[in-house]
Amino acid sequence: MTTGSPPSAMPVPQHLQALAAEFALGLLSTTEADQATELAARDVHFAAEVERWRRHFSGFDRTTPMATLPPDLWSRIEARLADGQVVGDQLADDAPSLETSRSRELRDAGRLPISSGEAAADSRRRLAGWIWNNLGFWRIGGLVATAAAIIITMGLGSQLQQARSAPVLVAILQTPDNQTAAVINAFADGRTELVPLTTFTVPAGKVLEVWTLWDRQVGPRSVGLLQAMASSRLKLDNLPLGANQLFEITLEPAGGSPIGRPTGPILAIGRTAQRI
Amino acid sequence: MASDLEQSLALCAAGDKSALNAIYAKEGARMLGVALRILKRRSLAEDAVQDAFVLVWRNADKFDPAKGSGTTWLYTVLRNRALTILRTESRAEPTDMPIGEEIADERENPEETIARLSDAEALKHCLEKLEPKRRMAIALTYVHGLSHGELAGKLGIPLGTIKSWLRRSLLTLRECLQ
Repeated sequence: MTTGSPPSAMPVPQHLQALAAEFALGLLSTTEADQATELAARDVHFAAEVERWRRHFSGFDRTTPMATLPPDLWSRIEARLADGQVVGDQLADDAPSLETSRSRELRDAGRLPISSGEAAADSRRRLAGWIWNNLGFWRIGGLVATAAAIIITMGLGSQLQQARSAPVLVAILQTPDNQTAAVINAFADGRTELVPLTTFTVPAGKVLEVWTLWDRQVGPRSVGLLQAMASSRLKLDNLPLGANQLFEITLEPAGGSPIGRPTGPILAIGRTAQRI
Repeated sequence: MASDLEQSLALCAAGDKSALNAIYAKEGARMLGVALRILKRRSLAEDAVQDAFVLVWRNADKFDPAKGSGTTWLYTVLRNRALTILRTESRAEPTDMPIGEEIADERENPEETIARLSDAEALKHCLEKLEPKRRMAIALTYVHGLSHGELAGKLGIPLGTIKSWLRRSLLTLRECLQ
């Protein structure tokens, strides 16, 4: 060991051992992380516990493949140092001033020509497009079942209240034989959750994969993998979400579709609607 | 004896910009790799690295070698920044990004990540003693920045029990790491 070995272990209560691990993993909310930072400043044993966890977990960092640094990244850093732009005094600080550089880069990215990998992606997209385009007939069944679905949605009232805010968008997913399989709720803060209303038999070596489609040009995108139907949060963080957007659940090989597009049978499908 | 990195941090605190460049030259590529595993998108990962270096420069005087190593400090700055971008900023982003920009390592297998850990690390040996689902959860959380909710979804564990389930996993891991 080199320098900086933390003080040797003193009994740290078990709940603080777990908190230190969660802190080191990055699982705490902003408020909890602030509290943990404060605690570490006051309590050397807790601080040492956090450092020990970080040191163990840093083994993962060393497994990371090196990425190619863009040639201009250092000059971008230097420019930031020079123009005195303030990120914040605290390490975990949010930095609204960064928005400007980020949005500028996003705009730049948008102007980039389409990459050569697009051609291959295109043929996959066409295949996926065929699947999605042939779902039309389900919509008729969907309409028939709408009344039943509305009643079910109302029945979920108490669960929605538990979530402290009402969803802004709701999608009701139905099976090909018009059973209501799940509800997807999207909240104003970006959280999107799946509430199961039925179970599916998932054979060994298979998973349920949730997809969304907002633009056929882009194609469907995976927003979650489930071993079984369970309440879960969907990963829509970077994706657009609006009314009349398709969601579906397909059966895929373990680990999810190998091509990033649905390959297995569609178990349930539905579209979002705006809450009134 | 202070490591090279710790010496560079001390020089940064004294206002020596070439010391920051030395850290960038030595750790930058690895840091971008770490940020990419969390953020998946190159532009966001580059932002995280950029922000991290600005933060390192401004906070180098707060690094205390008596409390921890320079490496854990540096990567904590980076991971905090990447996780903040992941959880808050990327959500509010415009969505007209070309898909081709995204990194296709979404399905990087956590078992493979664990296998790549050095045999010299107690972490590897202790994770291997855990149930596969439990060690997967820990690797996914650290390496890809999954939240409790995302873990629950990925592993098919009810949202209400994921927190205590993961805590038990961590405490078991800790017993072995001791």
